[in-house]
Amino acid sequence: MLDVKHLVKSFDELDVLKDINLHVDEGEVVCIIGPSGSGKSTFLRCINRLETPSGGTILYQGRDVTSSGMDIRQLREEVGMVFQHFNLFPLKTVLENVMLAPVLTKSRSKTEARKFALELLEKVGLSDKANAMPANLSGGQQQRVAIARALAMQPKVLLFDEPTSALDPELVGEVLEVMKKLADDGMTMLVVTHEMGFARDVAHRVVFMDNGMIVEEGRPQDIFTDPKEERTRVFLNRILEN
Amino acid sequence: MFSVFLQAWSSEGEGINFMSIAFLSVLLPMLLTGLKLTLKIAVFGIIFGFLIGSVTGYILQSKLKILKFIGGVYIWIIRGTPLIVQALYTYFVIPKLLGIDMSNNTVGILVISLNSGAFIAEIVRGALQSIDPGQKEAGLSLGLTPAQTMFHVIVPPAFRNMLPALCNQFIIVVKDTALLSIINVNEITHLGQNYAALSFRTIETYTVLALFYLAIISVLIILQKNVEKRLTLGVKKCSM
Amino acid sequence: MKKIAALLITASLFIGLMAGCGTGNTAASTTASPAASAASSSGSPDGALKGVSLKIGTSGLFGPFSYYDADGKTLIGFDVDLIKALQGVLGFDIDGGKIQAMDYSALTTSVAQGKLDMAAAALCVTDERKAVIDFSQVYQDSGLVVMVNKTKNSGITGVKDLAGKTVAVEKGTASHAYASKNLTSSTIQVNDTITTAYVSLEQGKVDAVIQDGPGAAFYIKTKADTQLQVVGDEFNQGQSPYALAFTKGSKYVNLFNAALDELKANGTMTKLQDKWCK
Repeated sequence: MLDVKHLVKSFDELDVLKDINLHVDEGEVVCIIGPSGSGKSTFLRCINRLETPSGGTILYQGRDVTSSGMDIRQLREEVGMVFQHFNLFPLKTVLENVMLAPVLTKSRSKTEARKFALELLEKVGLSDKANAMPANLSGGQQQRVAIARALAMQPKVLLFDEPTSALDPELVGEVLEVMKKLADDGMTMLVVTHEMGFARDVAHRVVFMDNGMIVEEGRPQDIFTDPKEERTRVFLNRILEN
Repeated sequence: MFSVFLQAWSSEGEGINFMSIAFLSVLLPMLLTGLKLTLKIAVFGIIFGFLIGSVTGYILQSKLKILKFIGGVYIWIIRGTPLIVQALYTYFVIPKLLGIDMSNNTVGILVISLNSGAFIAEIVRGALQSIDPGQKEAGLSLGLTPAQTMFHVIVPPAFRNMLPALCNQFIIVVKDTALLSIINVNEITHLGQNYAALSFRTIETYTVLALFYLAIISVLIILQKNVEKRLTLGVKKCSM
Repeated sequence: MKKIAALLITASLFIGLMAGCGTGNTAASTTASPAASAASSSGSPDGALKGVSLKIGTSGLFGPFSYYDADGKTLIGFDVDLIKALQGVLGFDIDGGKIQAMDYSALTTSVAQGKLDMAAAALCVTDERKAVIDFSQVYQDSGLVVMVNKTKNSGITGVKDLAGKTVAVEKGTASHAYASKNLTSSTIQVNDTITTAYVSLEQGKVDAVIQDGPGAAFYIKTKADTQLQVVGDEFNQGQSPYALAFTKGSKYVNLFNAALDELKANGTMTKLQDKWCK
């Protein structure tokens, strides 16, 4: 599905990504963990071209995302993203948020789009909020709407950029639950997160990044119980202490 | 107090002429006719000014240096010259440069549009920048084209944020129309001056003229407050 | 409710303020010195205003009566010389050392309000002005004429052909008064100065200009490459003779009339006319 080879990204003088190599199969759930500033978000944003890589290649279904011939808009239909701060459209209702992109890009009729949107809202447990405005929802509810909105485009891959980091602790669970459901349904997911519990229970693979490089990767049970690298060990100790 | 009132309304202060409010029956209809033109120029001026300002505000934040430069020069010229000079220049020089005939009213609308456009550009630029970049990213990541993202995601909240400043600009524009009297546009200030020159009733004329503007602008201020109220009643300020 | 109260208060304050300005006017006309009143009773104008300082105005916009020399700074013309001649007879001083120049609307209003004691600028004795200004005797006959652009004339041969046309006039002049009273079916463009009216006609923005005869002739004679010409005869002579303007009730009118008589008698007026109007 996704093949990242020697990805490099620099901002002016700063090398944020130094040499990233990762392979993701269809249906895999990969959690990316690591200290802040390690380049996790930047890595994710390179995949859907919100950032432009400075070097290396990213192959999505065999096509090079970094090449100038790539139809980025089409790519983003298939590779969706969920943001840390939800980024719902404030002047539209929940339903309108979910319907907007399909109506505009896939020329779906409004009736079809509405029907599908309501199904998605049902899936994330928010069908009763269809006509609410985002400002009147809790953070957890907003993020679930954001997930439904991303799903409306029927993506093949979903990128999650710290989806629960901006949430109050008691609201985290409802979002993780939705994400688990998606994983169970076979969605290919790349999740940058600090939620170790989720990583341990849902991920097929955990990737530890530090300082722009992938330090270690493996199955959750391997990484969490017996990390091979010193840096991984230090990081996990710090996290698990809290 | 009343005798003072009467004295003021006589011509040039020589005792109390029998107060002729009769002049009002000439002046008021004249001003009401001029008012139609004042408002027409103000409305067209703000509409075209908004179009010019939106384009300029947009290109001001573009990455193309040449576009930014052009926008910058335009704003610099408008900010750096008084409106009255802009009016005279547009009236005397531009038709000659372009070789076309323009009626005084057309010139008036052009002057107001170009002038308010520069200030609206700043309003537009500020409003566009006040939108959280995450909104644009969300739109793009859903597969919307940049144009769709701009139109459906960025512009609606940006426009809402702009409304109070735009209402303010409209009020400024209505007052600016008075300066068009210098290029013989028959808006109310020009008509007032002509009337005063012929009748010598300077005090009466300019008092009525000032009250006229005060009344119109006061109405606009009330409308502006209504607009602001409506905006805050609905969704909270859009800078999520 | 608050807004209406605010409006009413503002309005009355404004009017009260203006009332203050109104009553101030009468003060200006009472600055006549005792010497002047003594002289008016004796009859002779010679030196009658010695020591008196008068505020004198002109327009600087009307060749050959009142206009600027090539240096752009020095006022010259028939009226400028006339003021000097009157000074020679009456002996007054010009307040501030120089004649104040301003456009016609401001000029007549200033005289009417007593901001100026006298004005000389080819001022026509019109009914509108007589209501608020006192005039001396007439010192020059005149009339209005129609000017057109000879390369763009739409068939105008005189004042009768102006119906439905666009006519430019100078604000506050006899032409302005004539046009607003008589040319009700024409579009009148009122300009602050005659210069912009002339430019409008040269550029073909208007069909005609109405101006005093002498001024029109002077412009056509002196402006290089002008397209303008006078068509038809002079008209409105009854409302157009020139006189000196004074604030209403001014104590100087009789003295100036006596001085003008003297200048007519001793041939100065004829000399001025030969110098400026031929």
